[in-house]
Amino acid sequence: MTTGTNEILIAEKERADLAMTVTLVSFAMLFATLFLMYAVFRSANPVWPPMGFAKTSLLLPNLSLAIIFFSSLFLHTTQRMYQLGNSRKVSYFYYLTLIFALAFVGIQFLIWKQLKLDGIYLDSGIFASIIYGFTWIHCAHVVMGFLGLLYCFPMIRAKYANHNFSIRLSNVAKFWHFLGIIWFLMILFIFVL
Amino acid sequence: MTYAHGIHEAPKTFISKYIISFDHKVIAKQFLWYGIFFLGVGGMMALLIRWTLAYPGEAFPILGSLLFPHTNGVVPPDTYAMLFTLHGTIMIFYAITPILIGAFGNFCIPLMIGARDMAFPMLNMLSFWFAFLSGLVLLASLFIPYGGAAGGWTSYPTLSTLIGSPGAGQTLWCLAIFILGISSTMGAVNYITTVISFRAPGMGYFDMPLTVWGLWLTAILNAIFLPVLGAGVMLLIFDRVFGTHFFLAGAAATSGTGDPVLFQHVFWIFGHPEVYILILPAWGVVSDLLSFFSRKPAFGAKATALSMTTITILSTVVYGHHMFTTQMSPLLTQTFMTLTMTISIPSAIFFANWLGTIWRGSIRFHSPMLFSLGIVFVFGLGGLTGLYLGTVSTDLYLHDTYFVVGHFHYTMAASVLLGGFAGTYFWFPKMFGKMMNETLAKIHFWGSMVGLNGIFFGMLLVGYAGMHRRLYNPFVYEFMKDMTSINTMITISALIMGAFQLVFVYNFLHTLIKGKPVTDNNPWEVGTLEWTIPSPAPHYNFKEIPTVKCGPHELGNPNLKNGRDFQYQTEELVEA
Ligand SMILES: [Cu+2]
Repeated sequence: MTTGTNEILIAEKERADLAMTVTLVSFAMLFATLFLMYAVFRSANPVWPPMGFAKTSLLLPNLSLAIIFFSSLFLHTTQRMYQLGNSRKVSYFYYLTLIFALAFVGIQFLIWKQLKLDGIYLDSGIFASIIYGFTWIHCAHVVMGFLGLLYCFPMIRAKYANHNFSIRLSNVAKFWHFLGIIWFLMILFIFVL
Repeated sequence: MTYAHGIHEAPKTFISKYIISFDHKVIAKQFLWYGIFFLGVGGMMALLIRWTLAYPGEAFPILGSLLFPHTNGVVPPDTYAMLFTLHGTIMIFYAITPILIGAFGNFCIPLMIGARDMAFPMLNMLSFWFAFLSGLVLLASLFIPYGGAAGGWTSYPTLSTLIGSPGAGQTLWCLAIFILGISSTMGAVNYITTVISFRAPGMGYFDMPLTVWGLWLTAILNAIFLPVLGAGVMLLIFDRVFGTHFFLAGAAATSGTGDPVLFQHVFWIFGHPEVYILILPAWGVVSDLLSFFSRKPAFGAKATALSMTTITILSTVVYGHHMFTTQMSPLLTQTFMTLTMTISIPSAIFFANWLGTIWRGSIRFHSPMLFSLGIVFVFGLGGLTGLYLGTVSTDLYLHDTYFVVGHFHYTMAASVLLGGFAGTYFWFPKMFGKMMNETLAKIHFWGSMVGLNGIFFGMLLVGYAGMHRRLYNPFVYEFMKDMTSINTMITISALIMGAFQLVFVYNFLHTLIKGKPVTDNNPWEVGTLEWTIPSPAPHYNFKEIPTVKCGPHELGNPNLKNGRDFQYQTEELVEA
């Protein structure tokens, strides 16, 4: 190959970006379908929540939203620090991201517990179905995102700050931010509105 | 453009070479075997269905007593429902998808755009093994209590909720479809990226063969719409396993329960694009082959590519034509009808282009060409019968009759199947380095044409006469009594069709095992990139990445020298 290494790296990055964009479109369609269904149920019910349910408490959902927001922020900072070549801060913010990601899952379990305490069970009609079904699906993706974060772990440990790492990190970060946005929409639609 | 991606040594061990392979050509063959296997399973199911409709209450010969010992070989009613459900599911998702998209997509895309492999070989390998896992889940569902899914391939609630389908069969069906969705989405990400970033230097989008166009558009539709089905079946699993109420019957407005019809919306938002997901690769292959074997450039190739793109876009906004009978508001039915009719315009354009391509060509009637011409015929019939179903007034009568069954078999089954065969006969030398027997191929073609037209035209007729689909024994109705003989004709056609597929299987296996290696690297004399390299295609395909200097259909130019009537895409364009 006569082409320079730099050119190869740029092309590799472009390919990864492209593939990640397509992947996110796919995931977005999955959640868009859920929101479409929500819209249908919502517009078919004159009163929401239906069946005499009260609105759920907003404390935990808002807390989880804050947590996922900060985890995204930390992940972004990890990337920034990587670009600045500050390897100590890279791992520092990376670990913070991991901790907040775990905290998010923890709060998620608390939310489900709270729902049960409020008398909203799995088989309590469409309102409960939407809350549980949608948060399950989101949480499954958060777990996938967390595994993605762990996938960067060996490189952090080895201070293996190379090109491959930056692509990996940027793809995982995009997915993670995406999940944050979806969570914001879910909180807005399911809990607030 | 850089090509240094993941170059590694050719694999040595059996496992790394044939099982966990990263090579797009090997993965293509894995998908081909997988698809042909399921084609056999789905075909057998079709014969069981047809037997029941022609000879209700009679034992299925030979296999019947083995499969249904409790009923002395007669297909029982509940099994009948399972058979038509799984016949549809298997043929669409496990036969056509792997053959057209998995096998030809993997094989043709890198070879035809001058790349050494897919953009993400590892993802490609995973895509196959996810499909494999999905196939296992589906087959496993046959052997559990209550058997496999029996709610139709569309799996509408309430047929598919616990009320309609107790037992785990339907749940496994949903799971299998979900896993297959992941597999196909992985493939789609790979195909889209590969086509965009791995085209050989000099190859613009309109220099790509139309086969690649078809596969690329299919991948785009897959990436966008498979997740929609994924969401639907996932919520259906929740309903079945965890007791949620998404699709449970009940008036949503008053009781806060779910909405069964909502699943139909979600299903068809995916389902209509799915029709094009299946047919686009076949259209692409035909558009190329008609030009290659007419020895002249594809007429209006650019317009064909753009029409296919237009159809891809339009296919996303017409899904409501599947649901005219669900008390949809007339405003919506008319909108969907109008949008559906709009698809006729781009379809007519590329159909006319096909005819323009063969017009006054010096046609070589080799087997790939025969199959391509067959597609022009059956797709024409399939497309035209679609107009009656897209029109609200006629659809209200024809909905859920065998007219629908005949129509979608003409478009999805007949056209795509013939496309698959055309592609197999055409690329077999490049895949395996051997030539399939032409005489047997032609016998296969004519037998199949007689068989499939007997089946599907017969279906159109009985459907028009009012025969409803999915009935175990329609002849209990007075008005159906006169239609036994035509149903027998359909079944005999199906048996003929099935018998002639054995010719194909024999030809395929015999050539593979006993066939002589080809001496000619370019037996069909065409100029696309895959024919510039040895047959079978070597590891890493191209020694040097080719530079593309002209389009894929430069045939029949009288100014061409050195005794050839075509030029390779790597050659400077000779002005006509
Ligand atoms: Cu349709």
